[in-house]
Amino acid sequence: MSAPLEVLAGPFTIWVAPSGTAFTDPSATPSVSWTKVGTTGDQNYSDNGVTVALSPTYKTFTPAGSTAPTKVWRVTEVLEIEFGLVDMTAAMFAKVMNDASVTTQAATASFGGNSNVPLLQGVDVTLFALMARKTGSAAGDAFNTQFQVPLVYNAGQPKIVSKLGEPDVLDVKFTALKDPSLGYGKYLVQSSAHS
Amino acid sequence: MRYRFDGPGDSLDLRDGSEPVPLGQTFEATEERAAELRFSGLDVWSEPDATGDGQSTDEEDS
Repeated sequence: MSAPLEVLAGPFTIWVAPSGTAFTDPSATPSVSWTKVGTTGDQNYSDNGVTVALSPTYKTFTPAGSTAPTKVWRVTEVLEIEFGLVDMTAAMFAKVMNDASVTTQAATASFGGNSNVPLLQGVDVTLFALMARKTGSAAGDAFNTQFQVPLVYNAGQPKIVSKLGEPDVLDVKFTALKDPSLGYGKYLVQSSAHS
Repeated sequence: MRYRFDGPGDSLDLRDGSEPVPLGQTFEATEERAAELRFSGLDVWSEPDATGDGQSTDEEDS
């Protein structure tokens, strides 16, 4: 791509791993602990793309003697990574269903084989570490840009509307929790290759 | 012969009344049954060859 390099386009690809997994450097291929969300990554996301939303809220103080606020506090911060997953494999369905287990039933003489995922998720919510990565950074096309978030859960509410000519989409909304030491994580712009 | 289940899925229900086989664990099956499982897309390999790369050890015997 040509200059200006700092202007980026194109969706992120999402990777998740058990919470506490070490992040992979943007210059390297994610380690085996990380699962790409979508069998072929961003090729399995709906054309709404991937939204990384940082949504702080503020409270202001307007004194009696003024018509305009004179002080402000940030009172909440929300980080959400949202996209539509167009991948109905059992493995991906299970991943967004609280990282459920997939049971594969072998074929027999009477029955075909299948892979199945329980629909009831229970009280406990699975926490993941998340990386959102895209090719290209503000420092060069050969580098990567990456969000890395240490603790997220999927707050998506999949409503599969099966229609003629439209793909089935699973709504995924990874919502961050504050990690005691890493907070909400980091935004990384790769600026050089390995030394 | 013993075979190892390498996916897909977290466990394999052989539908023979036995407990599901967890991913990476071994189970007893005939060669024919293992071939059927492989044919249906399962990653099932005999124990001496349980490397997951699908390379047969038959040639080593010849």
